[in-house]
Amino acid sequence: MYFLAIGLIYLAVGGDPAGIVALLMASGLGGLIAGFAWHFGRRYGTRVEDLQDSDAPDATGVVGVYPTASLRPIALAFGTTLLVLGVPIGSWMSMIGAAIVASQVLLLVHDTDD
Amino acid sequence: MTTIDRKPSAPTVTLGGDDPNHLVSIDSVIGPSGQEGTGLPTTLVGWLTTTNHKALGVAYFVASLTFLAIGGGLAGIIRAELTSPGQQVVSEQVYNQVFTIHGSVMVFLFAVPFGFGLANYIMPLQIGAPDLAFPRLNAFSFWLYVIGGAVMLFGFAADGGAAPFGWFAYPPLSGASGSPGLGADMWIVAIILTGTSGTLTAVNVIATITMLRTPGMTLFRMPILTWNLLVTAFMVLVVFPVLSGALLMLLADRQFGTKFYVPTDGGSPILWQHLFWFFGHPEVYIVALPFFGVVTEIFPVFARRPVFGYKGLIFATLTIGALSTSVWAHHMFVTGEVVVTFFALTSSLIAIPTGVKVFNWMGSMYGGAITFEAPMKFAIGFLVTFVVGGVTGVMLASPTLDFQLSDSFFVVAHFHYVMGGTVVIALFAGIYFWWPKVTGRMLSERLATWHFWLLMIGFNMTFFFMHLLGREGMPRRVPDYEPISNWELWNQLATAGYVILLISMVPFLIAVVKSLRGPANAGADPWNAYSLEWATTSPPVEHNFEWIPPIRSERPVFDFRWINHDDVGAPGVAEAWMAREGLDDRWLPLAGPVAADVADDANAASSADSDVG
Repeated sequence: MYFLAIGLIYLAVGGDPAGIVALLMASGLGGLIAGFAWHFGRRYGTRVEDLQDSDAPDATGVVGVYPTASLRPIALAFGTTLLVLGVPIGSWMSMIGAAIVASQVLLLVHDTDD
Repeated sequence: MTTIDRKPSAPTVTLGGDDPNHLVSIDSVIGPSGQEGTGLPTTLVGWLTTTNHKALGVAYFVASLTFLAIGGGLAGIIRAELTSPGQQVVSEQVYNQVFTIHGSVMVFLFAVPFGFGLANYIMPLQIGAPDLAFPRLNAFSFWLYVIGGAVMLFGFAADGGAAPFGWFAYPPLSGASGSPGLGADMWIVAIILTGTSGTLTAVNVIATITMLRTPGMTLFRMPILTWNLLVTAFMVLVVFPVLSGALLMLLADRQFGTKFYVPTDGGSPILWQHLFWFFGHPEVYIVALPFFGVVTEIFPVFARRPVFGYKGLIFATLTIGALSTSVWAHHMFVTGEVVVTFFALTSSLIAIPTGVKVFNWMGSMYGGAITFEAPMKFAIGFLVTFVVGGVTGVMLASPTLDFQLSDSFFVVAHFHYVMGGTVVIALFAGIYFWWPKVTGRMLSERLATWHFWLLMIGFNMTFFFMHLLGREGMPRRVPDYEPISNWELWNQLATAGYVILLISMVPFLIAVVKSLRGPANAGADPWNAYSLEWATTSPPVEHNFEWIPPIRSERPVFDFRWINHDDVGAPGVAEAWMAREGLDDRWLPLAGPVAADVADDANAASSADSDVG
């Protein structure tokens, strides 16, 4: 709401088009986050984490399920770099980068780390 | 996948030992760790493949401090060149590359990522989370940042050298004709990659704080550092995409012949300035807010007082976050193409929430039983330098003064007081504060005192005289100057200050080495601190907590330490603690889908015991 209000004020005082668009776009981005939070709150209601008088035993058990070490993130980062760096250097590099990214995303999706 | 099982915890009857009025020691409650390992890898492959938030947090710290050393080294070239008139050290072209990469490294590769290091290591501990919400995304973000940083630095090896257009890359200088070399493209790619990394980290931070808080850790019980990281993450999501879009347009201009910023073909260089500073000014707060959080954690602990105006600080942070997105064009006053009144007003307004913060920091110390351990020394040092930088910031928000001072060394002085004072000094405050938590060891107070005073003297010598240079009209980003007025003297003093700054790192490095070679005997809570990270072992066990105290305020560890004293800690702690009797195997928070099964198992076991009885 702040971005929307300030964007409209900026529009009214004769601000530049880029600034007006950026502020209004920020309203959209903020709205995206706010919308997610609203939807989440509506769907799940108040969670135990948000209760004033809740305590650790109120949500207990196994701490969590976490991925073990994986080569995928660093490989994916390397591939992404090649993909973008290929724009100034050469399409051959982008193609290698795209292949690495595609393969790593595929492996990441199917990676169960048993 | 790894599942972490619950562990039994200390019995409640041990609280306070034989003396019911005794303060509770966290160490006596948690005892020796029942878990193996700390989550930190021990091999190179382990570091390259880790997804643990603490390992990645340490990796962020090490990487960003390495970039600080590189950026500091480049600053040394600048200072060496400016020590006396004439050109002594590097050519004009190389000088341009050096100050460009110095600024870019410091802003994009050091300051922001160190904050992400805090978000990785400290934030989950502060909210009782066992990791970030998306560990692999977190690892991807880190590597994207490191590899992106390497791309920027490899620009020096490119034909024509690194990017030479300053860290805010104004076209047409940054266009294909202004800076034709590959190094400029590599700079753009590097910023796109690190920006993407930051955006993904922001998503991770928001998801973690939203979803993984431990029961009782309501939003208004979160430590201020966590709040500031949350607001920072929102700001990243709002402004980084704008920068990425602007950079893609710049890359398209350079590589594909588009004309977004080419004035002769209908494009607008001013468009770049708007888009860049729409990112660039909030970026200052994206850098600063985590460090505001750091000192807000430190002042109350060493003044033995609760933080003054907890909610006021949160609303000040929110206000800064919002206002920072509507002040960008004060960087563009001299273009004559902006609504000066609007931006002068909003830029001045931001001094109000910032002033609230300074007031609250002083209020947190006022009347307290202050002790000056290393973190407190550096936090106070931060406060002094930040206020100086803030005051010159208000001066520059005034268009009348800005027209005179724009592009002078005064701006360099202001910027370094704000960013240097905020980041570097608060960074060391944070390092001294959380070093025992991360390593289990203490740092030498004696060496820290040397470090502090040398740093303060060196920092102020280096940057104070730049105010005078700027006032006398010396422009920034020049490799040479005429020996007029006191320019040579002030430049020499600034260079001497830089040398002292370098020397100040010696006692710190000695302290680090000595500490790492010493025994890990810091204990869980060496500072008698307040927030949740001090309720676990030092260093923390693999998924952070085997035990969590009841949370009834923003100071759960303080409350628990004083649990035997009525009316000192937050109400309800003792009751919550007593309610745990008989639930020793059900103390851990943050259930996954498996949790319900575990709880059912526990209930079934309990029923079976009853049946037997």
